[in-house]
Amino acid sequence: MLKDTLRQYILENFLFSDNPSDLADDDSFMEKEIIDSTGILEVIEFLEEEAGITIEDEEMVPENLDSVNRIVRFVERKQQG
Amino acid sequence: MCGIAGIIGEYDPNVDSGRVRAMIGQLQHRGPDHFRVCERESAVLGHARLSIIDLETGDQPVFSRDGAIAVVFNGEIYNYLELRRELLPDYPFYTESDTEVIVALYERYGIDFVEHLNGQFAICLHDRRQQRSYLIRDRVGIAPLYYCRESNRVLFASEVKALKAGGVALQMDVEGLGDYVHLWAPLSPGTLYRGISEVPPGCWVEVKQGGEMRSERYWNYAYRPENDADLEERIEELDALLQDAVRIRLRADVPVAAYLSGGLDSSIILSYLLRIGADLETFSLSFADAAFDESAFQREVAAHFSTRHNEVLARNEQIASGFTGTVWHAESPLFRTSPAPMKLLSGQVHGSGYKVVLTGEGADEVFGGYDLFKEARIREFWSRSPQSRCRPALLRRLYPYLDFNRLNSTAYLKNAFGHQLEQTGRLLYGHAIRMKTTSAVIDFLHPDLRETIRGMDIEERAVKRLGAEALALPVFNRAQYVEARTLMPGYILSSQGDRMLMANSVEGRYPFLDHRVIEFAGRLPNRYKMHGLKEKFILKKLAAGRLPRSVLDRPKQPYRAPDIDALTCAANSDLLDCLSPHAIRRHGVLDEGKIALLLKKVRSGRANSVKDNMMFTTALSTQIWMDQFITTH
Repeated sequence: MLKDTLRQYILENFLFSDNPSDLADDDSFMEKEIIDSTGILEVIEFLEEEAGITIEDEEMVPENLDSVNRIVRFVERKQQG
Repeated sequence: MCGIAGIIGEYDPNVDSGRVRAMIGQLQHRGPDHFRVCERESAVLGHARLSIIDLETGDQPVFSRDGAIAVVFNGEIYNYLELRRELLPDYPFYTESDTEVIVALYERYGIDFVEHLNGQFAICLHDRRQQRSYLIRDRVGIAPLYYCRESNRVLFASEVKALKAGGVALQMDVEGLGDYVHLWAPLSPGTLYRGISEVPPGCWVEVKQGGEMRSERYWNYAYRPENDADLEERIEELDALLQDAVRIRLRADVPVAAYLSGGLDSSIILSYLLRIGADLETFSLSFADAAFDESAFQREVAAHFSTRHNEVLARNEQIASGFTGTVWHAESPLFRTSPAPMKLLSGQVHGSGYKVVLTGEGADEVFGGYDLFKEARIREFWSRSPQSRCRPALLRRLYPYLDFNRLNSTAYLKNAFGHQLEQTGRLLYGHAIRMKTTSAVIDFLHPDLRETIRGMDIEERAVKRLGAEALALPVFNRAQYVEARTLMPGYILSSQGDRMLMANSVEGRYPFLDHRVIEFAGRLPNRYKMHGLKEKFILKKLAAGRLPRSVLDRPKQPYRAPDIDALTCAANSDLLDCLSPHAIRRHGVLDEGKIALLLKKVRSGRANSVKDNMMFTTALSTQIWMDQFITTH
């Protein structure tokens, strides 16, 4: 569920596209220049609102946030923890 | 400043003098005091005058005694009194104007006369004897001058809108647009208009009878640091130079005021005005949003120098309602709204009875003030050890205000600033990050246009237009050079400078762009400009003791204005019609689907990033610009 909402959010707000094939779930946001460093803060704000979590400073790293799949896994871990 | 326009070559007297009249009519804002169109053998010359020097006899064209030479000219020759004294024993002047000095100098030196001028100028000189004309532009590009060929004739004008009024159908130039969306300016002599060139700063164009043309550069920036220079001696030398640069820029038969930004450069100008004993009336912009406002510093400096100070509060509603007019005067799409408040400011200056203001523009380019220069230095330092975690961390010091500093990983810093990190030999190395940021707007262009522009090699074009010799410069000087040849004339001095000033018939004067100051700075060791990461080091040393400590020590604040917040305010609801699917389709320049999603994001209130603001402002201004200027088939 989060994955679909997140994909839609990134497609519309960063790629300005309504074509789902423009974004693969493992695409690196940085390498593919989909979301830059300042844009990640917008994604964090979106995740905090959407998933009801708080992301700590030390969690703001590419390992957690640099693709759709990484974000989904990270949020799931947070919600379970 | 004034407006000039004309036709060089064989012309039809039944048609073409009327065309030049129409062209000059479009330049009324540049010269509301007097108009004249003069027909000569093989040229029609038009002039719209803003009377500043020699109010009685300074109307143009000015002729040589035998009538063979005629000059129309926009600008000021600041050393005209000294030149006149040199020429006077041999030359029978009939006016008191600086324009006649141009005629007399040309009679003595031929086209090399231009090297004797200290000023800001766009000149058309018609030489009936030699059957040729010259279009000449000042060294750094303060005064604008455009031209285009029409069979065996050449049309010229201070602004492109005058060429349009003269019957030239304007088409968008894709290469010019490609340069623009990377460098904020077309690479001169190219423009945003197909078939229309500008006379590049520091160049003249010769037009012979029959239409044969050639262009030559008479001046360029030079960086030859004298590394053993003594700092104290150089400060003394700079002090004398700047004082003289300010002194001769007070030459006017009308009162002169000054802009005050609250930063170092305009404050230094004020310190010289005070020393010279000039009348001190200052004008500043303020904003309701604290993120853009510098009024506390402006007031402090104004109080320090006891100026009669005027503040213009730029409200969002005014930025919005004036935006169409801003684009009209800028004659190009805009990445930011920041020119709009500058037009409000010049309006206040005009309303207060002034025609001339001194400003601090140019100091950042000449003395190394921009963050971009520091960024280039850090990136070069980092490139020597690309895996280092510490070296990119210096960038956090450079941009402490950027939100992404919250991100707890150097990977994000590397993502933001690592682009082309190790390609230090490129001409545009120092500009790589700005180009990457700005070129995001390409994504919003129509797919055909997007593909063409993505395929352009901007580095190659820049080397060709700016000169391969610049590749041998150190990274810092290379970045200075590119900035001085692209953004400064193409945006700072034009869209944000001359065009917004002249929109209200006000002339800007720039002491830091006196060529003697620029040449002096080119001989300084780079450490006297950028000392570690301290910008404009020698200027700060010079100003120590003259300016309030708070102004000297404050971090540099780039001039910005609200973009989306202003453009979408209630007063401006009609403006967004420019981005309707129908309007987008009409011009075929933007991507309809992406613009719809951008608008959706803007309306949701989530479009807050620098990139969103830039994209929205660019999209809106592009549509307005297309409506106003481009002939759509």
